[in-house]
Amino acid sequence: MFGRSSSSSTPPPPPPAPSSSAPFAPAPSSSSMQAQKEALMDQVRQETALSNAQALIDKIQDKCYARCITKPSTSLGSSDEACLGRCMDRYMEAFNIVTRTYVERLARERQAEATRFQQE
Amino acid sequence: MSTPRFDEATQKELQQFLDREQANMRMQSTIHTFTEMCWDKCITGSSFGRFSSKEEQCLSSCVERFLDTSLFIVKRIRNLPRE
Repeated sequence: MFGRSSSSSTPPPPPPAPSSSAPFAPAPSSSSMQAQKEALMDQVRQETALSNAQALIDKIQDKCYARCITKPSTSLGSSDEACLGRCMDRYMEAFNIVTRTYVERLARERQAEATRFQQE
Repeated sequence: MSTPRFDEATQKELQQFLDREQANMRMQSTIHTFTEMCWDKCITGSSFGRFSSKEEQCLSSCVERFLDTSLFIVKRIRNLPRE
């Protein structure tokens, strides 16, 4: 749903230390270097996906709380929960529509740019 | 001198990967901002049933017109008469 999926389903190995402060011994063999590279990339992908999910959750919390819980009472009632559930679904749907529109627009602008460039 | 963790080719590959990821993050962040802005503009009811086609249309026009506005402003500033 966030447009990213890790290539492997196994949990990532522990994060490697930052390379600038890694006074590590002998040059790693190329296969272990390859593995370290993949691990680093997987970790970055996971962190991006996580921060994206977090951002979406934060917005949903803001928007749906504001719209559904207008008069906070002593507990979250079942109609509150029903409203929150529907609001979440709609917000994610809106996110998907906005994403699609934006991505398609960028592609069109890029295409127009390329055509203009060719004509010059 | 410390031994670099990755050879030069791998470092370059990682740099390109990170640049792509960063561009991706910037785009995601823009999309979050647009979603919030367009949600406030277009989705005003509070029953949250399935979107009507009008609401869907509003959401995508909201994005398109925002980008048009941005292009318009840049164009107009560029064409302002110089003092």
